[in-house]
Amino acid sequence: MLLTDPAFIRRLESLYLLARKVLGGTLQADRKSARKGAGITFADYSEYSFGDDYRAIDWRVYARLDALMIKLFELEEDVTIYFLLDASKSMDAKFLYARQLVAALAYVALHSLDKVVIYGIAEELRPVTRPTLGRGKTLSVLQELEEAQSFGKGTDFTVAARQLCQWHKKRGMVIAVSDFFFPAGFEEGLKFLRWNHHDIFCIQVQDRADRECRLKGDVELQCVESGQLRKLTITGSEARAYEQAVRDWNAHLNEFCAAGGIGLVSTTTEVPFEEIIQNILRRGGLVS
Amino acid sequence: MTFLHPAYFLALLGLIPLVAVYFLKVRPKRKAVTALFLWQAILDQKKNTALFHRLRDLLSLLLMALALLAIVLAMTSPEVGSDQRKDLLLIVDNSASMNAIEDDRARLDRAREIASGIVRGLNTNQQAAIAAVSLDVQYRSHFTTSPKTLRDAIRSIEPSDCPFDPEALQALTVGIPSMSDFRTILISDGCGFVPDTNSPIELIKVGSDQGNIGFLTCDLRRLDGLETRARLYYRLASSFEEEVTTDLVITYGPENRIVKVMPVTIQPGINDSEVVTLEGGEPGPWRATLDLPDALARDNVALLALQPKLPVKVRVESDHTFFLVNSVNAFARTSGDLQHVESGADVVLANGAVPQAQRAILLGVPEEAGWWGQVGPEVDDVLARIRIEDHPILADCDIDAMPFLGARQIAPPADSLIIAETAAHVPLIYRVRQGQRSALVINMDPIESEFFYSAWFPVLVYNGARHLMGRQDSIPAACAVGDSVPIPTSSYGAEATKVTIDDAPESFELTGSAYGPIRRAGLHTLENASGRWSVGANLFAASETLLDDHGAVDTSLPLNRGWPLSLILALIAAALLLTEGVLYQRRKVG
Repeated sequence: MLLTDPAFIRRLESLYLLARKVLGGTLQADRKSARKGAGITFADYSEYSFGDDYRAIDWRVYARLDALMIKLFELEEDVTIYFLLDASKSMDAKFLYARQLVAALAYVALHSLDKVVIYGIAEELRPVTRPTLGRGKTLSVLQELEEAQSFGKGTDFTVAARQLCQWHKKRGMVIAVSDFFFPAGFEEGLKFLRWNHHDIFCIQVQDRADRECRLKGDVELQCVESGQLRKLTITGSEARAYEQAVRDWNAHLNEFCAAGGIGLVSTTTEVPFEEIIQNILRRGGLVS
Repeated sequence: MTFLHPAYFLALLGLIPLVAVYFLKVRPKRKAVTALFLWQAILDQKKNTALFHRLRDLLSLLLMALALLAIVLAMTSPEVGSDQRKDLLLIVDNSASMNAIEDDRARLDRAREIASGIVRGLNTNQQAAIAAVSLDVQYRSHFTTSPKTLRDAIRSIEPSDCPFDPEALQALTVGIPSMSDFRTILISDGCGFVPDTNSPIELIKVGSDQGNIGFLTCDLRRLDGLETRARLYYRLASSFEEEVTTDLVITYGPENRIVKVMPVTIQPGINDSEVVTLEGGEPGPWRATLDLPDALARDNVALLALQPKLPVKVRVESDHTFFLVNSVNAFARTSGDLQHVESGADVVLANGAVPQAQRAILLGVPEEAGWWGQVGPEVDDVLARIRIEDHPILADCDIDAMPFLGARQIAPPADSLIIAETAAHVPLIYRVRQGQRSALVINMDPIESEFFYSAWFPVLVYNGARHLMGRQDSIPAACAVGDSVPIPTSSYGAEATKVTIDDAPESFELTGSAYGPIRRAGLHTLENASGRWSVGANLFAASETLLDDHGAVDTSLPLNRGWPLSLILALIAAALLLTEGVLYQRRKVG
C-alpha cells in the first residue's frame, strides 16, 4: 500500500482522532518529558539549593516542616521528533511496515504542530525528510517516506546516534524503528542519545523469519547486509539454538530499555500497524 | 568365483556420472539471513565437527560408489564353488530318530533348515522336488522352480513315529530310470541308512552321537488261569557309552495308576530281554516308562493293552454230550477262551445233528443238508491230506493221528474252504459259508474213530470255535509302528471296524481282517460288532533307539546353500544406500 494512498491517509486520520480523544487534544502528552521545568503541571518537590528560583519555594511546607522546599513542574517545551528509520538491508522484508509506523506517528505529530525529522539509518545516517513543521507538510513527508529506499552494507546504530547528535544540538524525542539486529550492539547508541538528553522510544519490528528458523540441512548462510557467507548444517538443535539466541537478544533489549527509562514496543509484521499505534496511545503516549 | 553375466561389469561406468552428480549434489543452498551474527555462536560450537563434515561428504561418495559396485556385482550373478546346478530331489528323513533333540532343536528342524537353505540357493533355472522318507517315500511337491511351493512343501513335513526303511530309498532308485538328470539328496541323521558307494543318492548328514535309551520290544500277557496276575516282557537298548540306571515305572489305566516301580540297569547296546510279573491283570491300557531324560523321548514309553476276556460261548447239541462238553470246559478252565453255555451261544458243537445256528462245528454228516449236499457211501481210504498248510484250524494238531473213519462221500458247496481231504478229494475238514451262517464240517464218525478219546479232539474244537468267531489270531498287547494287527471279526472282514487313536475325538472306519501298517504311535482302539480291542503301537526299532548313524557319512557334493551371493550383494547395496540416505537426509533436512 502506498503511503500517499487516500485510503492509507484516512487510516492515519483515524489514528489522529484517537490521539486527540485519548490525549486531550494535543500530542504533548505523547512526548511528556521526565525532565522538570517551568510548566504549569505540578510534578514533585525538591530541596531548595543555591541558584534555584526562590519564587518556587513552597512557604506552606516551610511553615509546617521548617525546611525550604521548592515545587517542580513538568517541562513543557517545543520539541522536535526525530525518527530513526532502520533502512538497512536486513529491514527489506519489514521496510514497508516500518515506514507505515513512522508515517502514522509523523502524521499525528505534524497535526499536533510538532516538528518532525526523519532519518534512515544503516552504517550511517541519511536524511529521508528535512525538518518539517505544520499540517500542510504532511503529504510531502509521506511522499518522501514512500520514496525512501534501503541502503548500506551494514548497520551501525552508534554511528547513527552520534551523527544525529552532531547535526541536531537541540534535544528532542528520538523514535527508533528497527529490528535492532545491530551486530555492534544497540547499547552504545541508546546511551549516547540519552546522554544528550533526548527522550527515546524504540519500536522493534521483526518478522517470523527473524524469530523462527525454518532452514534445515546443509545451507550456506549469507548476511543480507554484508554478504558474508558461512556454511552450516542445521538440525533441530541448531534451529532451537538460533531461536533461543533471538529470544535472548530481544530480552536484553527489553531489560536495557526498562533500566534506562526508554520506551519500547516490540511487534511483528503480522500485527496491523494501527494496532501498535493504538496500543502506544492507550498506554499514555511515547513514554517508557 | 565365476560370473554368470560378466557383461554387466560395464555398468561400472556409471561411477563417472555418479561422481559428477555427487559434487553437484553436495553444494549447499545459499540462504539469506538478517542476523548472521546471532548464528556466530552456533557456528563456533560446530567448529569441532567441521572435519567430520568434510569427511562426511567424502564418505557419501564412497558409500554411493560401493553401493554401485555391489549392485553391479549382484547383476553379474557371482557364484562360489562348483555346484553342477542340476535339478534337485530333496528327500528329508522324517523318521522317529529325527525327533532326537540336540542343542534344544530336533534333528528334523535342522534338516528342514538345510533343505530351506538349499532351496534359497537355487538359481532361477533350477528345479527341485521335495519328498519325505520314513517307512516309504512320500512326495510333498513336484519338480518346480517356485521357491514358495518348495518352502511350503518343506514346512509340510511333520515328524513321524515310523522307523527309517532303507528299502524305501532302494525302491526309489529303481522306480526312477533317469536319475542322472538330477541330483537326489537325502537329508538324514543316517540312522538305518545303508551306505552304498554306487548309489546316486547323496547324504547330507545331520546330528551327532547322542545318549538315548528305549524299548526295543515289550509285551504284556495274563498268566494262564490267573486273572489277577500278568507278565511284562521287555527288551531295552542304550546308546550311552556307559551303563545307565533308571526306574521302570509301570502304570495302568487312563489315570496312570502306578502298579510297579523298579530300578533297571541298562548296558550299552541291545540288552537281554527281561520278564516281570505284575499283580493285576485288568484289561485296558498299560504303560511302561523309563524315567530318564535322553535325546529321544518317544521310545522311553511302551504302550500296551490287555484285551478283555471274551470267551467263545459254545453250546453242545448231541445225544452224547459228555465228551463234547468236556472238550469245551478243558479250555474254559485253563485259558478261558471257551465257555460252555446252554443258550446264547456263539458256536454250536453238534454231533450227528445239523443245528440251525449261525456258526456250528459239525462232527459227522448224518443226513443230507445244505452244508454238504447228498450223503454218499463211506469212504474206504480215509488217510487225510492237508490241502492248506498252517491253517489255524489245524494249529497244534497232528492230522496224521486223526482217524477219519466213517467219513462219507459228500460234495460240499462250491465256495467251501477245504482244509484236509482224502487222496480221492473227499473233503474231511472244510469250512463253508452260506449267507451269514458258517460251519466247520469234520467228515468222520467220531465214535467209530474213537475221536473223543483223542487228544486232538478238544484242540480241534478249540481251533474251530475260535476260527469261526474270527479269533484265531489274538491281538497283541503292543506292536511296532509299521506292523499290522489282525482284526477279530466273525464275518471274515466284511464288517466295518472303527479305529480310534489315543481317545481322540475323531476316528475312522476300515474293513478287512487286518489293520495296518500302523504309522502312528499311540493306543489304537478297534471296535466292531464282535467286540472292542486295543493295541499299543510303539517305535520298537533298534536303529532308531540306538541312533545308529555310525555307518553313514556325509557324501554330498558341492552345493549352493543359503541366500544367493547376488541377493546378499543386493542387500549390502540397499544397506549402503540406506546409510547414504540417512546422511543425505541429514544434509538436506537436518
